[in-house]
Amino acid sequence: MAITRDARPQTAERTGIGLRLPHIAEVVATRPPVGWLEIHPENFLANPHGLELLTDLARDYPISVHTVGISIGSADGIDRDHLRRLGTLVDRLNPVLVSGHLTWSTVGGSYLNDLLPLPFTAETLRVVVAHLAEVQDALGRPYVIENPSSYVSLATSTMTELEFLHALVNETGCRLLCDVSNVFLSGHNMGYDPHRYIDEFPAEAVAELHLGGFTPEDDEATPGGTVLVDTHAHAVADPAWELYAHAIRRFGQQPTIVEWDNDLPILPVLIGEAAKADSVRETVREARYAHAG
Amino acid sequence: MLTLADIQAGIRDAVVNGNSAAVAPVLVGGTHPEQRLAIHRRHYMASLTRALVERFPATVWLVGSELVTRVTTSFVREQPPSRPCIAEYGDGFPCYLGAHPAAQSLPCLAQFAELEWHLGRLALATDESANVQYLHLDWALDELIGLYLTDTAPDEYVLRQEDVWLEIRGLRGELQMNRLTGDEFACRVEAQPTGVRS
Repeated sequence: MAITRDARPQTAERTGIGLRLPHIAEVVATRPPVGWLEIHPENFLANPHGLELLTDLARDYPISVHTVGISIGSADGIDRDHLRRLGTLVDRLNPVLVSGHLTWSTVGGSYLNDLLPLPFTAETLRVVVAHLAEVQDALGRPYVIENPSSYVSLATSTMTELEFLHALVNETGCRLLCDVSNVFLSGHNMGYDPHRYIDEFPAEAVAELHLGGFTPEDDEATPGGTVLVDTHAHAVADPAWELYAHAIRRFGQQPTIVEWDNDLPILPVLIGEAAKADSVRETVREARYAHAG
Repeated sequence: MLTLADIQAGIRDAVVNGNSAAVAPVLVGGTHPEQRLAIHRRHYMASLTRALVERFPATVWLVGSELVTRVTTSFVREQPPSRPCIAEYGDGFPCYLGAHPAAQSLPCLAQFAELEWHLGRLALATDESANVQYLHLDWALDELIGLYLTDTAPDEYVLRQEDVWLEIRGLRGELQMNRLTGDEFACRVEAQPTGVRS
């Protein structure tokens, strides 16, 4: 199968999975029935053998490259060596999408291995707009931006996260990855209505949806409360599935990936999660046709 | 008004050193929002400590997980990653481990961990990538790590102190360790001048 630059019709038909290294040999051997595969490029930059296997998979599956290390909101700028290496990998895989997070990870030469919160200000918008242009120029293709998962925000913000995303789309014309689980998690942690967030999200910019599991923990910031932590260590929670159905009704049939990064289950469990997403989409589609009929 | 750079420097201090004083006044989230920021600190420490411990399983086998975990915890605090590729994080760990007070009684430990670092790296090599490393050791650590790799550790083992001139080759999960003479080692290193550490 030839790999095309835009495989959206195919990826929208069937949910894909986040492909992690412990599963790659099994995926190579069994070619499971998932729509597409999304990888973290940082897992392959120092793994030539893994990249060889991935390149083989790219002949049979659309691949999406989802970065965790670009740090688009860093005041210090983009790590150009990392960007160059990412560009080499992207050229090799010719992915259908390249994406990353509206967060930051690098400061003062240190990479903090997490997706850290940004203040939503005019200064941050200038930084992200400039870095987005730099990344897209270097990669020679669009770079899709994902909404963050939040436990804490900055009082220096002069706009909401949604206002920031609208401003970013208006200024750059970029596309967005809406992580539905992040919306649910952040709504719980930061006290807003996730359904309303979906309703007010820039729907015309949506290029992809994500789903992933989170972990409820005792909230040391609010004794007696619970904070949801974005661990990607569990199956997708029921309320996130319900929010996903709401997102499909709002955004239409969008390419979707189910992520699972920690305490990885056996591959069939992850494939089952992808099938569940397909089922939710089908239910929404049937309800829409029934309503139209 | 804190700038973006101020906030990021403050969050770095909170995540790496546990000091959230600079950013605490501008945090929002719950009654004690610095506790929410601590979620990021816990993730930073736990994810990198786990990555290092998993990167050095033979070292854990040799000296136990308690010592390795203790040293990785201080390493992660003192030497954060400089690049987003975590598989490359830890090349300085063998040296750090060898210099740590907890490892003073084990003078071979830094070289053992360095040998393991290269074996782990070369196990992922292909024909197209760098797939050979030359390493001079002061002990017969190739034999010792071979006991780990083949799961054939005897009840007692005496580590010999001797010069070992080692060529390590890796390809798609397969590893070869070949002992060379000093002259062979020098000759091959000269052909690949960037491939040696001693």
